[in-house]
Amino acid sequence: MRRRDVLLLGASAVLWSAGTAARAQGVPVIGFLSLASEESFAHLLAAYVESLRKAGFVDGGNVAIEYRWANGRYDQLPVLAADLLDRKVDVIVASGGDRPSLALKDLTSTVPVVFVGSDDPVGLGLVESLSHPGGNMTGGSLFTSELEVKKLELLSEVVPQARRIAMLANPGNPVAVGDIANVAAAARSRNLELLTVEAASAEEIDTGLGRLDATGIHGLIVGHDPLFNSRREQIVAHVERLELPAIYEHREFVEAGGLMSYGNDIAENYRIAADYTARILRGARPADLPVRQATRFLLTINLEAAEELGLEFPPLMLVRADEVIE
Amino acid sequence: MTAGRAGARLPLFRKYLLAFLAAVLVPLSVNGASEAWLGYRDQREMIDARLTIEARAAAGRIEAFIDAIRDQLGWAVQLPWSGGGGEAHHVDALRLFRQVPAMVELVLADDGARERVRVSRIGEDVIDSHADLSADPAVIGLRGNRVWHGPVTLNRGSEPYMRIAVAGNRSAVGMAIAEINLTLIRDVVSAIRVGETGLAFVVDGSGALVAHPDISLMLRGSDEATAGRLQALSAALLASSGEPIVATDFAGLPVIAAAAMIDSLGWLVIAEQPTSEAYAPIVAAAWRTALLVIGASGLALVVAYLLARRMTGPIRLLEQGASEIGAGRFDHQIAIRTGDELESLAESFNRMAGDLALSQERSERIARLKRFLSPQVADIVERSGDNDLLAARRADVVVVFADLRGFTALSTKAAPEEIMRILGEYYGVLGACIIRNEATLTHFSGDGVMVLLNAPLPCKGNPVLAGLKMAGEMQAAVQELLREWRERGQVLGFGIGLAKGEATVGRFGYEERHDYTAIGNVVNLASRLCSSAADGQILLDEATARDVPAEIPAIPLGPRQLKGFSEEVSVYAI
Repeated sequence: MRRRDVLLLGASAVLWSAGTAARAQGVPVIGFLSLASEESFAHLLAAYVESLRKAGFVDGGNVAIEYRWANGRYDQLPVLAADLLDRKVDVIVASGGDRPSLALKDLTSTVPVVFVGSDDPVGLGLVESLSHPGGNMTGGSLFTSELEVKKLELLSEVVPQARRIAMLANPGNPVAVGDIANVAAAARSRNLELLTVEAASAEEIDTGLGRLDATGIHGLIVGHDPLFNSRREQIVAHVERLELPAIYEHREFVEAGGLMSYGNDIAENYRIAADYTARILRGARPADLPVRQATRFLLTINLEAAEELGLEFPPLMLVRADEVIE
Repeated sequence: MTAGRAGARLPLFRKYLLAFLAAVLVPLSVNGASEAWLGYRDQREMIDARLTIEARAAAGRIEAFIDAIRDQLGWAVQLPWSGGGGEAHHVDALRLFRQVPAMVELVLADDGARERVRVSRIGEDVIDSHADLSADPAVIGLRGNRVWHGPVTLNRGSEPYMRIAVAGNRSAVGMAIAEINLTLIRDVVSAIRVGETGLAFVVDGSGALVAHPDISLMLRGSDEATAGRLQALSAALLASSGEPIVATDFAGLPVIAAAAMIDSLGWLVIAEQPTSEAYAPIVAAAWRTALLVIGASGLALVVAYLLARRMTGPIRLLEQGASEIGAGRFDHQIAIRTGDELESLAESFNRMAGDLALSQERSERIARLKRFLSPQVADIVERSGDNDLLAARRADVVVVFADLRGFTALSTKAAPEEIMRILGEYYGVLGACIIRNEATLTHFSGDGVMVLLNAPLPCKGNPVLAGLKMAGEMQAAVQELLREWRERGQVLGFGIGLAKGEATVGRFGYEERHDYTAIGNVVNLASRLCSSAADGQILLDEATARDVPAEIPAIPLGPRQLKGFSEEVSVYAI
């Protein structure tokens, strides 16, 4: 057993006692299972807790939340999920892509699960249909896979002369294979060469991007992935070092110095998750709560980052952009 | 007795209670019922009006939302397609995209219905694909029309989408076809609150849900459970021609629903409020009335009880007083200080007791007087109200003594019953004579009686004549008796002595034992004359005989030596 596991178990013991105390008082318990780390998702967690409060449930008051952070380690998810189920929590929020939901799907078909931003809830078997989930799971759906091609298009508009594009993808993400195939097909139709960089952990991000030879590569697509979201500083640092025009999924990357992002407001998905958590705590059945789809897609561009790269956004990009960071 | 009294008190309490309850509950209930009815009518009218207004306002806002999109699309169909490629229009399309967040996809087509620009938020933008769109329902719908609204479809079976197409005012500018995500209309209907829990939602022509404040209902697509209800509700609202109706909501609870039509889209905006909330003020008023009725009933109970007790207390005192007075305790005072009719009734009782006491005292006095006075005289004496008439004084009186001859001998041998019978008959006739002649019986002992005339009341005429008349009657009556007794074997005689003269008259005696009598020589004289009278005789002295009117012959019997008189006395017989 490694040192980290010991620490995890120690943290679990502390949380266990808190949860037990809450349960003894008859307060419902929410299990919060996330692939990411607490630090990188603090703002999203804040959005969740705040929305939950608005829906009438106060953490530490009339509800208790037990947190399980996998810190990017997929192998921890089944352990943490089983731990939460052992604690007999009332509902589990699955944060950070589809891997936590899939881990829970293997373990329970009764405990309600609210997933935050699934990429393909029907395709992955989490729900029967978007309108009628039918089982113990529901939540929000991002369909960000479909945006990967759009990201390629937008990147091409910024670097029209590009011939070779790299894509950072996480093979641990169940939809990654399909995403890569879609982007590769779109790249071919644009006469672009696509180079795939795979990384399924923080270390692999370093090794993958560290091995990337910037010469001959004209742009980078950072695939949508919760692991990448939680390692955005690390990724942006590599991209800055490589001086590559890159497009990301969320505006958080652009805030961290990235060039541009196209995707939805991930915090909104945590607000939706809070709404559904509250409804389930009030007695609603996940089977009856339709999967919420992302409705707004935002293009965020960073003029400063463009200047550093010696780039200029074409007028079309400025028209498209929903937010411009200067 | 106590049980009887308690039993007697309860009916009074019950009567009061019923009367008060009727007086309180009838107007309260009528008032409550009429208020509830009027309140219900007013409230229903108000709710109907408000729901209709909300539905119309929501319909207006949704129409404005769609119209705004239509107007924006109008900007994209102003430049003709002749010559230039799609790139110039691409910027227009992207600008439009920025303006309308609900737009998911926008297609610009030229006058030949060829796709020139396709921009999407998800898919890749396509420029100048020249795809033939002439079979697209939007293109077909635009023939002869400037605007076309497509049916509501479900994206991935969940999100309601709709396409809107706009043609330019010249065919050369082509057309714009936009796909709209209707979940954003939810913001419009979410803003509508009717009361606390009332809401508004939108259904399309087929009764499918287009927008609802509850996103989870909106995303449920064509749900059989909700679709049936919505279709029935739409049909009912359309049938009522705008009048709000009572229906059931998704949870099966009754609601009042009003509708407004969006004619351009064929959608129905329905505003509804649960009846439980709509009628809450009326229910609250009914509860208030009920509480008032309960309170008033309690008050009526208490007041009835207090009043009944206020009545029964004095009534019991009156009852007690009546039985006290009935028992002869006339000094019993009924103390009631209620200051009302009961008090005056008690006073009447007390007065009556006093009067009864007086009356009884008087009748006792009369009874006493009647021992020696004839009833008429006794009445006069009693009515005169003072005892002066009976006071001792000197007066000219006529004294009559009478007794039986041979009674002493009879009383020693006859049976006591026979003696009493004889005395009874004897005194019966004597008494009648005394009473008839308003004479005063001073005393009787054995068979002898002493009767006084001209005292205490003076005779109307000649007292001697009155005495003689009475003596005559006595003789006649007793002689009659003597004959009867003789037939029964008792041989007795009866003699009377009568004398007139001055004597001291008055009441003598002790405590309650008083007799009215006369003292003086004339009494002795009359007594002795009686003793010397033979059976059937009435003897007078000379002085008395002088007063006898001439028409009554007084036969002188000559002087007789009478016991107790030193000189002989001239005796006369009548």
